[in-house]
Amino acid sequence: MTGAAATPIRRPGRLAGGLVWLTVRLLPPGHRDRYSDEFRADLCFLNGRRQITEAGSQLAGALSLRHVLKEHEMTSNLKSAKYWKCHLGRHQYQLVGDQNPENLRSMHLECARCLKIKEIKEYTPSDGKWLSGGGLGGIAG
Amino acid sequence: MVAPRMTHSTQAVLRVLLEDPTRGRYGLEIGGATGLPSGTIHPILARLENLRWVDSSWEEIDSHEEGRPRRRYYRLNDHGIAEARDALAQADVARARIISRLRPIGETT
Repeated sequence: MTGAAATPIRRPGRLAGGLVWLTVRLLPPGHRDRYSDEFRADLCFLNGRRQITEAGSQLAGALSLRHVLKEHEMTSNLKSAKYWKCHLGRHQYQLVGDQNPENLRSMHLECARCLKIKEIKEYTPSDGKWLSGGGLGGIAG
Repeated sequence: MVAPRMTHSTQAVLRVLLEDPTRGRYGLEIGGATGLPSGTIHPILARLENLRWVDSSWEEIDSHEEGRPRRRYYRLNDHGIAEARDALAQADVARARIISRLRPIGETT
């Protein structure tokens, strides 16, 4: 894509440039260069007074833009921070009820972070005699 | 599906981007087409970009040669086109529903 505008190019004036500088300062550090270029490029096609109006509008929207950018940073950081322990096999299992309405009493272990379900090995008594021996067999004997 | 808050401004931006989805538009151009100030346009575009509805790319020029910084162009991607059309259709239905409930002043029942 190339700019096809025939409008004369004007470098942003001091006031407009200062407003862009201030706007960009309000944004998270990782996004400053990008928006600085973007805002200045837009100002280049406007005359002096409109440059100031436009730069003022950019400043007015800076906090809103900052909020959106921060929000995105937080969610993307959260996703990566959330799972690193799970990647190492250190899950945070908790007992969770089965959501199947036909099987409401059933419980299973589920990781609170990555939702991995732990296989539950059913208890099988190794020595059958112990149970049966202490029960009816013992009385009968 | 995650969708942005369909404010009038968001709808206006999406409508402009949908006019010709193959063409990238820069912030000032979108502002001119919607009548919205730049301070409103950029947070909306950032939000749409975060949702991956919109792709952005730098203008392919030599900024030293041109004597100005490169512009950033925004374009709806395929996913964004489908989602934006859906979201705008829903917003239109909601608006029509509200309008149908309105009665002229003085009318009872």
